[in-house]
Amino acid sequence: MNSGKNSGTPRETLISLLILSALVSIGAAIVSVQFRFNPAVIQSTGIPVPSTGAEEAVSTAAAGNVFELPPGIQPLSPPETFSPDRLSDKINGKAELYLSAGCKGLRSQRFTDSLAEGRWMEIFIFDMGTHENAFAVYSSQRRGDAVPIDWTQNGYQTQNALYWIHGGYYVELIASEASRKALAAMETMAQRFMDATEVKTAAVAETELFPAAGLDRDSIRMIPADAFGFDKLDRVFAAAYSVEGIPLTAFLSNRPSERAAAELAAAYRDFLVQFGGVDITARSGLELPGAAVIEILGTNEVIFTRGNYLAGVHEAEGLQSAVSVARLLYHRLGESHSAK
Amino acid sequence: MQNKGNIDHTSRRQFMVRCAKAGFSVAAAGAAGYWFFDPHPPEPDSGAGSEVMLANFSTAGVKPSMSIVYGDDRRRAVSRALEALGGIEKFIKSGDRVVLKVNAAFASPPSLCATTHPELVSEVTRLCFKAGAAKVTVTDNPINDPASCFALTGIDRAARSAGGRILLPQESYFRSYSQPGGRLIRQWPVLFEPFRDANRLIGLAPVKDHHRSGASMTMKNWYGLLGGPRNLFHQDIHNIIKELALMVTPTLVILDGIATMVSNGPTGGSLSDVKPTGTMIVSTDQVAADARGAALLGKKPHDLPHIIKAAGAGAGTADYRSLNPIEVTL
Repeated sequence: MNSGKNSGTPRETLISLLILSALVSIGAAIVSVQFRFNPAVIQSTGIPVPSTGAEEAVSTAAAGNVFELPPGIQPLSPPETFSPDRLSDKINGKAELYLSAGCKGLRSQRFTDSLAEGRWMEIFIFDMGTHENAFAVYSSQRRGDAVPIDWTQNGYQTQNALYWIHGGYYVELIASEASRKALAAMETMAQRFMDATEVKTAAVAETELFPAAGLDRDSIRMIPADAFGFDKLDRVFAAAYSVEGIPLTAFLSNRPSERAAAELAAAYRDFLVQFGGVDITARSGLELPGAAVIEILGTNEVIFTRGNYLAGVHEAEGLQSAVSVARLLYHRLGESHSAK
Repeated sequence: MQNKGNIDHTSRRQFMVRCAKAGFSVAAAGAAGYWFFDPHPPEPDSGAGSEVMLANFSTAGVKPSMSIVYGDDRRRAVSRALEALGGIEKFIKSGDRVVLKVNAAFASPPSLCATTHPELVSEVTRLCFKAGAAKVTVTDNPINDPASCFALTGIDRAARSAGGRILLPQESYFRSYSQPGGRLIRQWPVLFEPFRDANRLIGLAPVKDHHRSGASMTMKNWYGLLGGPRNLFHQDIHNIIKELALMVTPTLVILDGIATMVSNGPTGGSLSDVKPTGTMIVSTDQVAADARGAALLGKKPHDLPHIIKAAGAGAGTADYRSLNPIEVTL
């Protein structure tokens, strides 16, 4: 008989209740979650994130230490980890420097030295992704009183700090005061970090492409973006030269193809002319194929390409010194190309 | 083959009733969704209710003025600089509640000059109490690990030893603030608690190189009053500094150029980033103070767009010489 109502079996009723319970739970979860906005989503819309900053004072702290500590060194704080979007919480306005060079994150930790009361130190381990990126931030901050350290290819010490590259990591180890003991302790810590952090051996080949005559080797730096004020000129290696007392900068940048290098060279030349530069190639005496010499604001710029390399001379006060370094650089790039 | 024991004989009428119920349920759910739908994005929640205004902390009847003291003793330099302006009693009266806004942005030792020097904090705190201040509150919002920042910079101990109190930021201390006519500071969380009962504000800032703005001095020091994801403002650094200068009208600013972080700012890190520059600047005009301080970084006011923008917006003068600064050598 059909009563008009199909009450179903107890099993069907139970299944129905379970399904309804699940639906109610999902609904409650949606209601709950929708009032907790994802800052990343809101930030992408340009709406300020609902946060005071103060509650973020407790940053991401990982367990343990960043590496095994040598005797006498004690952790003063837990290790902290900062993703790129939180980097400025730790280093404020300096973050842009690292982010523009491709920084993937920062780990830091403070330590005390039991051998010296009140003395403390902090390590900053920037994961730059590649050795080249690490070289960019390392070279752009090189201190004037830097003393090279012998246990790594790219590293130096100052009175109170060590700075070096380890694979794709740029590392700063800074003491609260200057002392030999502090430096010795930091060297031990540096070795511990390097032993504990396996990286691929890497070298920045471009640093070897600058001709030796007149070169200040310590001045070689990598400019990740906006080199010489030109927004299309990125990943440029630059080095200071002194030719008979006249200072200038030589530069080179490896582009994806010969054509890309030539197009960028032309664009940079046009950029200089647009801002008042005068093309003096014809009277410069420079005979390199496709090279341009631009006089601007009382200095000389040389731009040329060799293979995939865009290269040249920047802000040379003397035309002859600019031309002579440009020739050397052109031939050096040619030798390198032949060697390959 | 038929399953005789489990046949559901649904009549046309029952079918229509069930369809109507299902349709009604769908319509009701849709109507509820429409009723909840808000086409407007959520307003940023500053975390603390209605908007606040910051008081004008300048001293009535006092003309814009500046003093510059040359020497290497921070305590004596600031003391003499204040004397040159008529004494701290001209600015701090008996019973005043004073806020000292320091730069404690990093957990960095004083020798690196990345933060306000503790000697300056203790001396100014002492002078405020000497002038009769009822309360001196020392504050900043370093975002990351404020307690460590105040402790390791030496500011915590310096302030407390002189009788001041440290106010570390907490979420409840922030209030939503909009800068009148401002483009950037709109409904933004600002550290307001220290100002709740204060009637005097002194900014204490070091002179620093800054990767984005070119310099960090007294105007940039107010950046530490901002909460939220303030790093967004680094994309428009000169305008945010201008708006900060308009947001805060201090009683005094003290720009400590006894030593200057001339490179790799604002963090520095190496002692070689710091050079002795032997200059202490005290002024009622924050723009003028920064204009004078620019020289300690080897710059001119026009090299720092935020100075020109702040002056253009009426926050002070970039022509600090127009204040006829009183210069004293220790």
